[in-house]
Amino acid sequence: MKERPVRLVGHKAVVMICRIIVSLVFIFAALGKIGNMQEFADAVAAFRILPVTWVNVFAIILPWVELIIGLALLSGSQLKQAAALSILLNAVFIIAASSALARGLDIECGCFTLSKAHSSVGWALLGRDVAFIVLAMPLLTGRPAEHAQVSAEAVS
Amino acid sequence: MAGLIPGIAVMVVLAAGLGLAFNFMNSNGLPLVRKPLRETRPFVSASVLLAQVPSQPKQADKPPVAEPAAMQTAPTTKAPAKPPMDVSQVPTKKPAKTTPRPVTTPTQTPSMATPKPMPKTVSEAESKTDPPKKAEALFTNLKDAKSLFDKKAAIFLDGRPIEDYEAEHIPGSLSLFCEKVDDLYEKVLAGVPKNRIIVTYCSDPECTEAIDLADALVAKGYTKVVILLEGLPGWKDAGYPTTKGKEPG
Repeated sequence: MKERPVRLVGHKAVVMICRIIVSLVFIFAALGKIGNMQEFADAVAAFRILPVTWVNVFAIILPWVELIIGLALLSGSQLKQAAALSILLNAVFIIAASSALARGLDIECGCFTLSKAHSSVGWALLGRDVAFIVLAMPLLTGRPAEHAQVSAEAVS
Repeated sequence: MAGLIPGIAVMVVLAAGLGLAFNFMNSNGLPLVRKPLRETRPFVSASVLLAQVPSQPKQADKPPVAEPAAMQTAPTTKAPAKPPMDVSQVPTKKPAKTTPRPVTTPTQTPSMATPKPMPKTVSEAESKTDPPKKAEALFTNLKDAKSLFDKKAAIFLDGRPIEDYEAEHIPGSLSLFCEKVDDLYEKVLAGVPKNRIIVTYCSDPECTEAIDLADALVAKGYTKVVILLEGLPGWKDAGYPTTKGKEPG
């Protein structure tokens, strides 16, 4: 009798790892920004995408969206919504970074660290955001029963 | 997918509420409406920066009269011009210790001086009624910065990381990355008097590296620090020269 091949994408361990990674990334990113709101606002302004008058409101709200995504993924509640929102946010970041690259802007992304020497917008940043989208996809496409089982096993 | 939208909307609204509440309660909270950087500080012109301070005898009970340069109109009489200086040449010998001279209007003399409040410098803007503000550098525009460049009357400092400086910079400018001011300023500005005109610049009008660098230098006692808000891109767009690599010497 042939053994069924293991489905990697929906596999419990894969889903769990993806959840933990994406949730920790978002929580870490959020806390860094909440602690340095002025510098994050300056980083957003440097992209020159939003009208200047909207920058601060965006800088105030976005870190909390990231924090809620991270906590939702970690706790397992509203998992698909959090995964969808994380994918949407990363897509927005990719578009913003691509726009900055295309315009030749020499700026920092303000994504995690607000140190100006370590977070320049570039191809590595784009690759990282694509990787986060790939990690979030199993959370969006996985079956609810699997997510519930993963959550239950995590709690026990 | 459509079924996820209500949940997503709830998360976004909750985040917005939390964010706004936290910002309101936070003493370092941001104003909801951000002003463009160019509206946050006054501009100062090259003519004011270049105005000479008449030598005044030391009088302990009569402090020199001064006004913030940003509040001044162009001086009515021209002070004698200093000989042109090469901004790429940092003086090799240390100057005699002098206290930084504030910029004053040339028509004021010590004999007219009556005891007045603390002298102001180019980099300060205080009023008698407002609480004392943290000293900060002022902005200068492209035309005035170019004038200082042509006259070799200022040291240009690039506030970006060294890699960006070496890729392209204003000729004669020095690299002083804004995050390493405390470690590097004594080496980069060795022998530079505190009243030497310094122009800082970085990437673009919303970049704060030049502002951070300028304010750090003001805090260290440099009295004529101004910020070229347009940065290197504005300089290049105006057709002014740039160069690559390290500066000789």
